[in-house]
Amino acid sequence: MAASADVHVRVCEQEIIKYDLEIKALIQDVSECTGPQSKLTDLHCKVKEKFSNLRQRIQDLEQMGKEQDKESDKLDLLNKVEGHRKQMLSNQTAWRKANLASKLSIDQLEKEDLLNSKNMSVRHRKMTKESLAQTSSDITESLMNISRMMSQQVQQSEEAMSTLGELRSKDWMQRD
Amino acid sequence: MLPALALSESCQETSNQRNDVSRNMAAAVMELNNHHSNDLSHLKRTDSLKSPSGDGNFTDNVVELVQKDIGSDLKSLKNVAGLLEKLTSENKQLEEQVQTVSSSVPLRVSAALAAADESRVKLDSLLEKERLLSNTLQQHLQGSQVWTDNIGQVLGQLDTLERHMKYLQCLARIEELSDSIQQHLMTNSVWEAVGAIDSMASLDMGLRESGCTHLQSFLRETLRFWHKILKDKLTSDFEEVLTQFHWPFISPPTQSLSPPANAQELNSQLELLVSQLLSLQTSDDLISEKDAPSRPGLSQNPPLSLPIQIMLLPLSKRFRYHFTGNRQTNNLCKPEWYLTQVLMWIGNSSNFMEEKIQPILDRAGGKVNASVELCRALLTLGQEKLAHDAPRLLYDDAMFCHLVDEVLQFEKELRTTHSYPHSYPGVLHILLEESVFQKWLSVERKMAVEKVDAMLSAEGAWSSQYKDITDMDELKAPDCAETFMTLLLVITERYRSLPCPRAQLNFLALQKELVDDFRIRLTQVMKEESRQPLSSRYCAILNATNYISTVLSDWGDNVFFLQLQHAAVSVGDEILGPLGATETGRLASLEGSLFEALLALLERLRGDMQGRLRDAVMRDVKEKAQPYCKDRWISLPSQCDQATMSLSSSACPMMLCLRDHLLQLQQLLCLPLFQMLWQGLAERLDHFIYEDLILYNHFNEGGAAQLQFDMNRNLFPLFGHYCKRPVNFFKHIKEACIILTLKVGPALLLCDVLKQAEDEDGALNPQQPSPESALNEMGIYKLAPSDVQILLKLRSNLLHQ
Repeated sequence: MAASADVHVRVCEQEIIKYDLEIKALIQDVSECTGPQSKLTDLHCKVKEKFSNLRQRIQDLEQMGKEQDKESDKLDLLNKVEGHRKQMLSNQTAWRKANLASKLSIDQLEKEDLLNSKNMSVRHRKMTKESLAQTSSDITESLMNISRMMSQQVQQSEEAMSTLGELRSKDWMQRD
Repeated sequence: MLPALALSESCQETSNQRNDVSRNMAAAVMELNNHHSNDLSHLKRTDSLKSPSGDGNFTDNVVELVQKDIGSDLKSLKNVAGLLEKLTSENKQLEEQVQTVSSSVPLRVSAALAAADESRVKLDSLLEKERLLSNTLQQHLQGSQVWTDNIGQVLGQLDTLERHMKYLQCLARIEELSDSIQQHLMTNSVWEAVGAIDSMASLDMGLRESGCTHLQSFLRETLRFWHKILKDKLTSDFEEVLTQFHWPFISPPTQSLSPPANAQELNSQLELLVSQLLSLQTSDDLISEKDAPSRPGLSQNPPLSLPIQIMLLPLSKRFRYHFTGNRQTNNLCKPEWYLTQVLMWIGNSSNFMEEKIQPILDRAGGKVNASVELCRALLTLGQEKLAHDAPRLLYDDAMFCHLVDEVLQFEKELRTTHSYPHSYPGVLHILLEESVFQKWLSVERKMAVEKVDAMLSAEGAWSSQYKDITDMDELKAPDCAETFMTLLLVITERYRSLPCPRAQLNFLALQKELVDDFRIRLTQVMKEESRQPLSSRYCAILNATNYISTVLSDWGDNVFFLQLQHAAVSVGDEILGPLGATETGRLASLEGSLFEALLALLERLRGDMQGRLRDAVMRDVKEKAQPYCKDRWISLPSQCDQATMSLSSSACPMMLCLRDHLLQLQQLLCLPLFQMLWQGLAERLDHFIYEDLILYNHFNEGGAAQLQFDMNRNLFPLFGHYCKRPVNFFKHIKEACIILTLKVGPALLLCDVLKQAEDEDGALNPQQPSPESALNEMGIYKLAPSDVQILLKLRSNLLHQ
């Protein structure tokens, strides 16, 4: 039991480190991002996902720590958890700084870019195409969500119907 | 008789000699004194001989000295020589001292004095030189004064003449240009006329700094005159060509319109006229300079390009026709009419501007973007109307809200669909005007408060919308909390595109106020429900608090709020209230977020509520556990076989209560909150059972076995759903059970080890194992040796130890 718990702890710590480094790499991407707003938003989503994974794993490690037999092991793990959490907080601050800096610089670039008149019509067409693509993908996603919910409801009502049917048939049989 | 005489004579002589000696000595001392009358601090011994005026005293002293040394002992007279020698050598020494001392001082002082003297001499010589020079200069100046006056006059006359000449040259040039323009106009050579006007305009700009107001105004008038003529001519031609192109596009351009027959010619005409009009731009700017109304918002924009101005005219005429005066279309309640009209015109004309006008402008070298210019032109119409109407709507809330909605919608469409660049102002700055903005804020606040009231008193306020869809409902947020966050989100969307960070911060302050208000309301509802903490409503409030905290901490990472945070550091003080130094530091370094204070308060509420919940459960459990605590642990029969053991019947109420509460709370609370709750409960249960049951009773073998069974096979598995090793959340119970169920042998050994350690009390024998390591071997890590000793005494089979 102890051996497998050990393995779990090790795996958990490895994953924490992996997520931490992935986040750091993504933060670097964010600070180097000069692209359009959509790229920055994309990176934002990725980083958020990684953060929530990291948070979950740190919590798992904490749980494992509380379940240790030896007090010393428990305190050890809980200290490590504290350390990981501090790392995560500093990552978060670094991400915020990179995010803000990139956003400000992209805004500045766009301002300068738009003063150049030649690109206007091209940009106009590109932007409308982009926004149309975005809207259509949003619509598709919403439709999929709706269809999923509807199928769930259909299933539930089917079960309800079948149960009612059974009851009713039982009822008939009893009466007879 | 003779010897007596001789003796008296010799005495007399001696006394004479003595007097002589003393006089000599006095003289010598006086001489000595005279030598060093200046530096007396070294001469301590002859202090009493300081004043040269005190000669009389001085000889007395000498006499004293002599009497002291020699006295009336005639024999010691032979010491006089020695004494004299001594004194002369002393004298010599002192002299040397004084001389060296007094000679060293004058050395330095004399050097300084010499230097000072030298510089004084130099200074004097310089002053002398200067005096000579200034005299010479004065003379020279006086001499040349006469000539300068003469020449000055002449030069002055020359200057005046030159200025006059220049003036006349200017006038001549103006005349020349006027003539040439007239000539070109008569011969219809428009380009040359335009060129001439351009040169006149540059002349005007060159004269800008001049003080010759009459000349300037004359030039301006002339320019105005010719400019008007040329402009009118070109304007009429241009308008004609435009109508051929079916300008303005009131309705969306349809492809069915056949291209005009003389398309080629029209195109070239268009090109010509547009480029000519462009060249008139500078003069036009100059002329319209004075006439421009000083509107603070609009005058920052560069003036519109001339061709565009002309193209705007028919549109602006139509706009004024429909939207000013007493027409049905000029409806204060329907701002969307004129806003939509502007957007439509922009949309309709964009094609024409891009395809026809832009290439011409590019070829003519003007850095002008045709569609943006037209947008700007049409926007001025909209801006004027909006600025006029907005103050008149301040008295009706519903109409005002409608206006704000329409304006925001307009702005959004302008920026996205028509790609109007953000560097030019849209219409939002009109909403930022003081009275309008304050009204907006207060209406926003009023509506928000109404909505919050409504959502908190709605039917299903405390139930979750997604109750039945388990995979979507992680946070189990009740309806009211979700609606509230949606409300905040909608407000954010509204103020997101405002151009001024101060205004945005005002809205942020409003949002923070609303969150705080909501938190207070949650507290109020919580207090009403505090008698039944285990009810679903209480848990719903807890979930709501957690949900709002989660969303707000998420917003702290949102780049829009980060930008706002950045602005808050510099200007936030006036709007968000005074920020302490730590808080400002945390905001500036992006470690904290704008919502930190709110999150802290919500956290406190959550902690408070969770504590009450946990305490309520514990109260219930403790009550039900009383019979279990008072069971006869000391006299239970011992069990041989664990398989036949079963839960003590006195434990059943407690277990039932605990099981039901855990299940209920797991369903009502969201996962992270439930996690914290059961862990807190486990900790308290651990302590409760350890203190109120184990330490309170004595256990025989059977009792200990039963307790262990109850705990390991019944209590701990209750928590087994939520973690892998629930036993480690009850460390006190676990380790106490180990001690209580130890076999007699090991128990006695352990007793000994602990007693020995206690007796020795610090004198650690390296060969003796420490009590902690002995305990660790048995799996005891948390309890201290003293606790273990107490537990061992609870065993009935060790009581007599």
